[in-house]
Amino acid sequence: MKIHFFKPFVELAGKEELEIPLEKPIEVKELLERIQRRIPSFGPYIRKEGDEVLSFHVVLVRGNEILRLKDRVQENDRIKVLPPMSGG
Amino acid sequence: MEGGGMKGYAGKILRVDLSQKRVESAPLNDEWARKFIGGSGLGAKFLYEETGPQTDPLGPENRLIFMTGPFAATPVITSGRHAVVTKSPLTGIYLESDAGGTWGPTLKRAGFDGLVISGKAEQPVYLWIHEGQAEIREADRFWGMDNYDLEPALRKETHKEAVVASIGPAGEKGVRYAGIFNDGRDARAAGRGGAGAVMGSKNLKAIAVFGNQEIPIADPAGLRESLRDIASMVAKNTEPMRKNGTAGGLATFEALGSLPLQNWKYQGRWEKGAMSIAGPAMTESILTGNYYCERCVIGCGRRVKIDKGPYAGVEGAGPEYESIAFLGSLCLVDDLEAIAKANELCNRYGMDTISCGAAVAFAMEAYEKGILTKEDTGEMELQWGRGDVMVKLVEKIGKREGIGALLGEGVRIAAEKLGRNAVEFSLHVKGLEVPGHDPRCYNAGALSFATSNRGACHLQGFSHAFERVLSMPEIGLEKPSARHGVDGKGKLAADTQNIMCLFDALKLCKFTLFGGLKLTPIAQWYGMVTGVSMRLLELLHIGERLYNLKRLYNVRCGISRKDDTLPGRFLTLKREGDGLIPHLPPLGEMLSDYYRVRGWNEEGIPTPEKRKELGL
Repeated sequence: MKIHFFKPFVELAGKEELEIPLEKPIEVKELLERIQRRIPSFGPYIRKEGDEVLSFHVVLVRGNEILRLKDRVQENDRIKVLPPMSGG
Repeated sequence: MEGGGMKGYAGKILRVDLSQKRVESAPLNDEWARKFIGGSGLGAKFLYEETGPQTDPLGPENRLIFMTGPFAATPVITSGRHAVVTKSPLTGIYLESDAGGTWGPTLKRAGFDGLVISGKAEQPVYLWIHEGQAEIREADRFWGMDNYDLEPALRKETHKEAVVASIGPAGEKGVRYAGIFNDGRDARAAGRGGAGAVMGSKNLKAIAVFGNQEIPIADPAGLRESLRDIASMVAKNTEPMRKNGTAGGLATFEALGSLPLQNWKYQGRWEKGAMSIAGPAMTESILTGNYYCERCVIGCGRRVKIDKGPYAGVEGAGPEYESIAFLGSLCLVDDLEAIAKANELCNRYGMDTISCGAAVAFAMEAYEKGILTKEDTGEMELQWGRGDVMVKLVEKIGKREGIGALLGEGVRIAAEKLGRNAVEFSLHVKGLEVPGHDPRCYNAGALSFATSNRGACHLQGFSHAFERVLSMPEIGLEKPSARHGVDGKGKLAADTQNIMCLFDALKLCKFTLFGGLKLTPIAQWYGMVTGVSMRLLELLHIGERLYNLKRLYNVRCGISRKDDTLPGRFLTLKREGDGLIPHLPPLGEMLSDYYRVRGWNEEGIPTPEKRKELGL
């Protein structure tokens, strides 16, 4: 699967895209762990206490859908790693 | 009347009659404080009692009300806020506007929970409130001065640490979305709805405050203990906001189709543009530091400086998310420095960046459609994406000069004056320009925009945020609601509006929600500060009372179901683009559900039973 990083995460990743091969569907929580293994500096942004806490730090989007920790992702998905939503 | 004895309050309200040149201190009505708390809750009660449908928003009979809450000037985190409540010259209905900074708690330390200002001074004046005293002072020499220059000048005349809330030239000249700004170059603003024009109509240039009074707290040790862990949690969870500000997630909004683009008519994606104006881009270029309101643990405020180029000289508050969205993406401007310049002009002249940017985008579309011509614009070509043109238009609006005089009326009146089909692209609800979260992305957000008591507003309900990332177990919302779902949206919009009424009455920053703050500790803090024990359900009941009180004010002004709507563009034009889900909010269906949940009739009027239940 392809992971597409946006600013500020693109600097952490050192690249705009990361390829993570998936043999079978996995949960987002597991995907985060795999990203962290490949990019250790991404670690501080990953939270697994709950969807809300995760989203305060990083938002994972598939198409138009904000992903939750227990959502399943698969090989042909394209996931965007975006900054948290704040707004005024 | 018994009053002024509750802990957590200064215990006094200052009444100012500018026509009679009279200032008078009155005890805070404890019963009102219990029923309406403070901030916009208490402010709404004063407005409801003292003005009505016949009140001319720009007439001396209108009230201009500044109100703090029980948490101001206490250790409660993010409590450095105050509300301004009045009848709006932009909408002709209820207005509350909210500012952070240090002015609110300083007013309280000066001895007053709030101010109720009536009348009109014969000549420009300012108020100097310090250590329980208040004076009306002549301000001829300050008239015409902008908000950045005014603060140091007034400090010279009052106190070196005085905090100033003021209007700029836009408020003096009656721009209908002029705001009231405080804390000088850090420019915190009660921006929306035209409270600055009301202040200008009263010939009141500024209110300088200073004081050292301590506010009594019922259980200071308990409060400190409760705050310790929660302050750390909120600070930790909001670290990204500290780093990249409220616009940190602007690119995420673009990816979801929520970012305002080209007067809300853009089709396709605008990723590159969004990246160039988002928070991280500012952090890497013009950012010089953070700004923290009093007792803030988040630090989302931006300080910026531009040293070279056409906008060299910009220095002070940087643009927040809404300002970037309206002066930027709504006009398809991707030049961050032009946006920062226009933002500074808005701060100096004293104008709401949302309504101002919306007026610029409206003018660009009118020009595109041939409704405005070069003859109308003073030979300016109002093309999409022209940052230089956007900056010039903002300046003209601030001075009410040329085409700026028309655009300073707000898009509703400007469209009516222009005629032809301009009303079709003047995007507002009840006269207030639609803020920066596309209602086609969030069903409860759409409902909340349509029904908000001050017109289109994202903060009166904050409902859209509960369709993105926020939860609130205390109202049965264990996880964020599905954005495009319909079931339960009436309840979600009503519940979140009631909760935001509490935030606006207590004067807490809503960004604490992004830090993970929930309602239960807030109820505990209320008890620890005031000594009045409050169960969560009681607090939610007060929130509902406040929302209904403001609605009843509007009902008296003629508001009903016919006004609870969205501009046609959001109901008929789907936003399309790679990865986006084209969607239109089913407003009619959700509105009936919402009225049923609220206990209002089908016309959107609170029933007698509901009024009785809420003690209204």
